[in-house]
Amino acid sequence: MNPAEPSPSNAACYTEAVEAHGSDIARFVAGYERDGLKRQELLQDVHLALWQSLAGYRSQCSLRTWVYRVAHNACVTHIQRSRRLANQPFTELEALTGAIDEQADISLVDREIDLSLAMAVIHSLKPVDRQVMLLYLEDLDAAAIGEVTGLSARNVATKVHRLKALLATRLEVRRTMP
Amino acid sequence: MSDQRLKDLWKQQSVDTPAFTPESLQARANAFYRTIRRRNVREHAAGAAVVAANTFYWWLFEDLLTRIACLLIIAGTLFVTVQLHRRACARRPSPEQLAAPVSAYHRAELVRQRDALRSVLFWYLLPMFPGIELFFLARQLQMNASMNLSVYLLYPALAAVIVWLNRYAAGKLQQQIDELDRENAGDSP
Repeated sequence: MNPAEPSPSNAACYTEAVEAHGSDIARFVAGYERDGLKRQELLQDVHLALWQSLAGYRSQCSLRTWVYRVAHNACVTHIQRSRRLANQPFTELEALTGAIDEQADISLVDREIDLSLAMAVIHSLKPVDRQVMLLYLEDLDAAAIGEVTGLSARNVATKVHRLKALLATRLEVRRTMP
Repeated sequence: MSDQRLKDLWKQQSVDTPAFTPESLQARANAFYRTIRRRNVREHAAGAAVVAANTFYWWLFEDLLTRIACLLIIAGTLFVTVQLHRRACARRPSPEQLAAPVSAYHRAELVRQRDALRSVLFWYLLPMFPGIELFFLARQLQMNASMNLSVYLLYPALAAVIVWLNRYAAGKLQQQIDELDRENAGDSP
């Protein structure tokens, strides 16, 4: 069978994977692509890669690990291609703040600003750091992150410590700004 | 900000989770394969045009040297076309490759791209070199024209520029590979 051809026999496994991890995949994709339209395309590409890959899934690892690996691999390929095409400038935090100032709920606004800032930090990270950061935010422990990325748990723990500090510092700086 | 607040912030973001039907995924796959097929058709059409032109020259020019040059160009074109096809097929990843640990997958992709760029000289440029240079020589001899060395330098000069650009891009990829290897070296005690 052509491994790239989706097969109906994958349907049950695919449905199970999407029900359990569909939201995780969508968040990963958001961490790799900031443009809305491109994000939708990337999401579809990730689902296609997942669908195609499941033809080879024989419980070699947990379904979650399999799904996360496929998602990150598809996303890494995407950012490599994007980097070749163009370097898009980052959106200024001030612009984001202005765009959501009209919303009434101040706590929601605060959260949106924090999330936008977190996204800006995540999008500036190189692929390997970005993978670790996104998996950490999904609440995976160092061993599970290591299983997905191929890095040792010790290396992951060091990275998580540094990345967490970076993100927390950026968010704290924002809070102390007048 | 605490660990848990960071994670909550991340997990509570609103994201679209559209349901992709098997039909929509199949349509996406078909669109992808159509793009690949169109590219293959373009490459094969370009190869066919070169073969047709040189077959015509082979028929038009009766001197042995020109005819040998035409055959060499045709052979070179066929070799390049086969290589293009083979490399395009090799790019279709297996399910196991799609689900490889991310650092291994990323490194393998970078190595594949680097090697493709580095090897352009051997599978894309050199196969055409003997035929093209011999063709120029044969035509000059036939026309009793004075030897014009610049004609012979055209293809090597163009090839040199292409090789330099590809080597430069391969060097950039090598930097990324080295960076990944340093990341992995962080694993060793």
